[in-house]
Order: sequence, then structure tokens, then C-alpha cells
Amino acid sequence: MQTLEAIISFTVFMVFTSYVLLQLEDYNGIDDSLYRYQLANDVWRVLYLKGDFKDLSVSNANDKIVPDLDEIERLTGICTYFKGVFVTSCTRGVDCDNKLASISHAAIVDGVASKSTLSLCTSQDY
Amino acid sequence: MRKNRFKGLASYDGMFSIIPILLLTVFLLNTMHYVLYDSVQKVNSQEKFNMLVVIADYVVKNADGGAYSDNEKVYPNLMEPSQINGLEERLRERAGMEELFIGLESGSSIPSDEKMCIYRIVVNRGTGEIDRLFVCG
Repeated sequence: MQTLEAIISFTVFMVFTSYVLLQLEDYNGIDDSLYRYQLANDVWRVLYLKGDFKDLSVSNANDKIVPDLDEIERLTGICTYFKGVFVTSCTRGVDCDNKLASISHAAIVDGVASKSTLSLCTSQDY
Repeated sequence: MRKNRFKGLASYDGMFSIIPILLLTVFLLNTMHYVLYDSVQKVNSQEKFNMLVVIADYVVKNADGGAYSDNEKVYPNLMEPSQINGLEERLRERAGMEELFIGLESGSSIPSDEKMCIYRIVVNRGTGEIDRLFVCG
């Protein structure tokens, strides 16, 4: 009877210890939330510097923006989705489920200022 | 004088209960040591990462860093490759880091995998192409 009690106590103790240790593992990663927003702003700035927003229209958005987004994806492994001008470098799917970061900026599309949301997603999500 | 017939039995009982208590104590101490060591490592990694993020942001956005400027107008993310030379030494001392490597991927070699690196997406003013700025430490 005492052996049974000892086994049960030991089992409960080990389960509790494992649970505590597993909870600790959940906080293992580095918090990079600020960095991800900086990357999203980088993409926006780079597209601006490359002149992709000049004379932008819904009809030419793909031709102007996608080559640069593809280059960014090749360099970083991050694909980008533009809600507002409906442009994406993500090869599968239209929008991404697991966004790294999203930022909103005003862009002039077809001569009209409109809000455009840029989302970064990891390529392997697709 | 009356002898205690249970004295030996009680000693064995005590001995066998002390062993698991000692084992559990050692196990708990080891676990605590692991948890504390792990926490210190995590805090150090986070501090280093935060420092690299701040340095990279400074380099990308400031004319004193690597951003191109024209008549006091600064162009964030437009990197002047010549401005990045010598930046490592200056920022390393100010940030109090032992090692710091800054460069554009197209023009410099990234240090070994043992270093922690972060990357920023920029435009290389020399080539006009999209490039990656790396900051490692």
C-alpha cells in the first residue's frame, strides 16, 4: 500500500515538474515585434525609393511593384501582401493567415489617395 | 530497564525516508539552477538583440549613420556604402559591445554563424538595387 502511495506521489510530482518546465519553454523566443514592424516599414520605404508608387494605378500595380517584392522575398524569405492595391509576392494564396506585421499608409492610386495595408508573411506559410 | 524493541526498525524507516527527500532536494536544486541559468541566457540574448535593432535603426535612418543626405534632407533606407566604413568602430564603443559588424550584403561578407545578426532591407545608392544591411554582434 505504501509503495502504491509512493508511486502515485512520485508520478504526480513528475507531471507537475514537467508541466512547469514546459510552461517555461513557451517563453523561450526573443521578442522581435518591434523589429518586424521596422521590416514592414523598410519594405514600404524601399518601394518608395525605387519609384514604385509614382503614377500608380490598379492596372499597372503588378508590373511596377511585384518585381521589387519578389527581389525582397528572394533576399529575406519574406513575402508581402498589399491590401488596397491588391498586389502580392506570395506565390500561394491571396492574403496570409500568419502575418509577421501589418502597417497602413496612404498611397495615391489612380490619382486618388487611398489607404493601403502592407502585410509581411513568411513564405513557408503558403 | 526496559529495552525499546522498535529502535532498529525506526532507524531503518527514517533512513529510507531521508533518501528520497535528499534525491528530491537535489532534483529541485538542479531544476532551479537550470531555470535560473536559462533565464539569464534569455535576458542576455534579448538585450543583445535589442541593441542590434537599435543600432540598425540608427544606421538606416540617420545621416550620421549610413543614410544618404542631401542639403540636410535625410533619405532613410537609402544607404551610402562609403558612409558605412568606419561606422562599426564608432558605434561599437558607444554601444559598449565587444564586437560589431555592419555592412551591406552585396559589398561585405557576413561574419560566421556564431554571431547574432539582424537584417534591414535598404536600397544601395551605389548600385540602385535592393540590398540587405546586416548588423551582427
